[in-house]
Amino acid sequence: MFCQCDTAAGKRYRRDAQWLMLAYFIVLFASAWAVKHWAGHGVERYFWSVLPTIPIIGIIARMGKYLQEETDEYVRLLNMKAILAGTGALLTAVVISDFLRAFAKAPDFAPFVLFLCFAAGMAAMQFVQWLHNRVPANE
Amino acid sequence: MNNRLRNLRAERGWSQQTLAEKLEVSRQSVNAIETGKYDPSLPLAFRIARIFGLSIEQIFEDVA
Repeated sequence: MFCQCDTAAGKRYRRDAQWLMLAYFIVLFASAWAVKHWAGHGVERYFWSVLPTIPIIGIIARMGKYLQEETDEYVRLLNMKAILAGTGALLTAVVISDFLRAFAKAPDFAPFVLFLCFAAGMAAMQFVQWLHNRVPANE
Repeated sequence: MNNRLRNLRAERGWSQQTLAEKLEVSRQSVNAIETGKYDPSLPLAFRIARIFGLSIEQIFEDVA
């Protein structure tokens, strides 16, 4: 998950993010069931398709609120760098995909791959930060 | 920027965790400042100076 820090703001973020993830899985399964069994076409199908994005957008908004609430400036800097790395990975994938589609007539990425690029970029940066910032236990 | 944070902390017998609690930051932050990986903002530098009863210049040294 995005914030592994033990600051008060970090704990509040993790608590809210866990609730939003729970909401996401409930809405996701409800939407998948609705689309498969009774949501027809048109507006109704669009509604059920967009519904699972709401908790995800909520988590992204909560990340922003966390960055505002975080009082530990070093921890905030690390988390902002991680988000920046995720955004960089996302934009890189989008640019590559766009040019491949425009010039090579390549197919688009499979659904959710771009979000995974963001998550992978963020996780890679957090791993580097973890390696760089390991704190000796006896200090 | 160099600093004497580790020495000052050791003189008082404080652990990184103790100093972190006094500064209301994480231990990770104290360690990053001590090892020179991170230069604190002016408000945090003032808080550090206040806790040790010293001026900022007595704790932090500009190497430039």
